[in-house]
Amino acid sequence: MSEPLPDSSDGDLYARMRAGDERALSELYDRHAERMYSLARSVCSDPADAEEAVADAFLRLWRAGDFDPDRGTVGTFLAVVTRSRALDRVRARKRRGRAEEKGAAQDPQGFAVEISAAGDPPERRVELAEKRGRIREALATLSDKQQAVIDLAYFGGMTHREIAEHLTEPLGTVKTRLRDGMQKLRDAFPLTRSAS
Amino acid sequence: MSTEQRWTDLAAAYVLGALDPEERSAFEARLEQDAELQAEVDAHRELVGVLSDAVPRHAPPAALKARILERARAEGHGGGARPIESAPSVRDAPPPASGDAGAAGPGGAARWTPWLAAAALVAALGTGYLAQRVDQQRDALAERLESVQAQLDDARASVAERDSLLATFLGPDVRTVALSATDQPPSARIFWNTATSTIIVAAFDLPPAPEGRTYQLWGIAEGGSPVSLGTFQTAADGTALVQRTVPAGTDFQIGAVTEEPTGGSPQPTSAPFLVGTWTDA
Repeated sequence: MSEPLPDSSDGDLYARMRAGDERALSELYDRHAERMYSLARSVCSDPADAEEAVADAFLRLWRAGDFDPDRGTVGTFLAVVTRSRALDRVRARKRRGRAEEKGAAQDPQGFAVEISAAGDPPERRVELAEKRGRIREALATLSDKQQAVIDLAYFGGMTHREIAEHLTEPLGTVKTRLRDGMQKLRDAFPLTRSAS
Repeated sequence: MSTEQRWTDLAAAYVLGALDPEERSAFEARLEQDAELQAEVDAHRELVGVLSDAVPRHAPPAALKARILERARAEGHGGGARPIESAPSVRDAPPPASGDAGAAGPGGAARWTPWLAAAALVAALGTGYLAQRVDQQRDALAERLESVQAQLDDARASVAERDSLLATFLGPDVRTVALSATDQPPSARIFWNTATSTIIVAAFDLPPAPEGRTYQLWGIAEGGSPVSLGTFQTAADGTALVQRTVPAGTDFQIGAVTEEPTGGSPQPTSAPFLVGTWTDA
């Protein structure tokens, strides 16, 4: 075997995984699972739903049906799929459940940046703390109203229209707040995609 | 605002899933032919990924990893991964084949072998490509089915809600009160189904109560004090249609609406701005 897995980039691991190397999937899991599970838990109140959302995301990567390395990173793909699967599960539960459960995702706990986490690998602790510090600063530039709209969309999976109804605000105001808030966050990060 | 600007303005909402179904379809149609818009969407996807670091941390259960690896193993290495996996093995095929061809002599099979190898390569790539396409289509269909199911469920829930409203309106023992202000708008009408102890409030031209305040509905019996029939809030367009349950066996002659602190008050703290007298419907 060539280089040891922990030194490989996510892209290399993905290539190995596609070549049938299960250890590459295992290593990708170790790198991303805590972040994905935390994300799923902030969308789903039920831990079992959160676990399924995470499993769906990793298995979708394993099947590699629609991941395109030219269009984004493994981490982005996993986060986008995990969030979307978690929201699907919350919606399915609401459809099956009673009306009072409908409130569950409407008051999301929102973003809360913990600068360090127990699961952070020691060698990446400083880098992760710095990254999370930047996210916290970026979120602090949002107005309370912008943040509320982004919370409802990101964690509650609500559409513009649903947010407008929930907050009893005009639709146009909600659209503007979401757009401007997300733009502020984008400006705060030197994203690799926006450079291209 | 230019048209391009309008589309890029929607990119964040598209990635977050905040567009209405019609808006989303239009956006996706545009996306297929607009590389710049696609780059914008990719950038917002990356932001959604970055923000996943900004949530309270939870360690995943230890058993989750084993479960995922087991499922991956059970599915087998394959699905969309096949094209890359199968292609190199076919590409490796020609050398031994041409060796065999050499043994068979210069004519006949020898001239065919490269063609066969090429055909096999094309077929293998095609199969892989098809497998990937089928996978993508299966995923897309599953998602579409889920979304149609969701719409159907929503439609059923909405019909059930309307049926329940209609039943309240159409019962044999329905009383109604038209509430109006001294000057023209706002106005409200209350339907009270005494058999089911249900009331429906329909309000018009009533701006939403300010933050920290709500509207409260009262029933007043002759010579008695006002009894709360619940609170309600109006939408941005000044309308409300809400259903409330009233205590069974109560009887009122007058209906009224006041503005109260959020959560409502045990007794009105302000003069009613909408008042009316109950009549049988």
